[in-house]
Amino acid sequence: MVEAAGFEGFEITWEADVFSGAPQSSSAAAFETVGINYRARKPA
Amino acid sequence: MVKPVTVPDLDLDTLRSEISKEYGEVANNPTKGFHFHTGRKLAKIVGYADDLLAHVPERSLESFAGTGNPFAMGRLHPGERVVDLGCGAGIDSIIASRLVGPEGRVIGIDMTPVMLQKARAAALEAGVTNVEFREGLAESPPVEDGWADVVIANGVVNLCPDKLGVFRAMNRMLKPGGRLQLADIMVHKQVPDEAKLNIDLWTG
Repeated sequence: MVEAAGFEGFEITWEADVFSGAPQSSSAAAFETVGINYRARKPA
Repeated sequence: MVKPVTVPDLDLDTLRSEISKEYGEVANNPTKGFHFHTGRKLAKIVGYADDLLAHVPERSLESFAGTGNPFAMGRLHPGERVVDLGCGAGIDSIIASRLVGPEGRVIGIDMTPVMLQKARAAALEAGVTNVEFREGLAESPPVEDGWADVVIANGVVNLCPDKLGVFRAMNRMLKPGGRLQLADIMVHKQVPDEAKLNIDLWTG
């Protein structure tokens, strides 16, 4: 989808469980949800 | 051809209202306890270095609710222009304003007025003058075409049904060669269509 919007070089650079131990129970675990960092570039 | 990902039966106004209400709580009552971590604890979980947080006022940091670290995948350079889409209480905008220095500029965009109030107060407290905060939506941010060198966002795209529309808006704001440095969530298990209509899952 990022590339469909006109970007190139899409890359996920990090992922981690950022929800475990949150004060309220979360649906995050049910869908194996993780936090990610990602980057891309608009063509020059 | 890629079609926009939308959820046709979801009332967009209701969804935005509920999201704004939830994040209004994060602004006004950050220690209440949410489905996600908040504040300094979360900032450490997602890898913010101490030197990045050193100049961020507590009023901004306490309402941090991001999902990653937009500064971990590339440096911001002095003089650059940055858009922080879904800036919340301003933590990333304030960090960016220091990284780009007095010759650079930062525009933070958020749809939740109480978050913008906190962000403006925090920027004033931090003494940064190269950042401004504007009210707007991620799908239609009030920034001119080709203004930005970098667009950052932290846990925002997942809150928007029209994700392709958000990425197209990011593309519009960027100069040719401009960069996206984003953080968000990803699911490893498919979310059923009926679950996508559950607003509690969008907000939490």
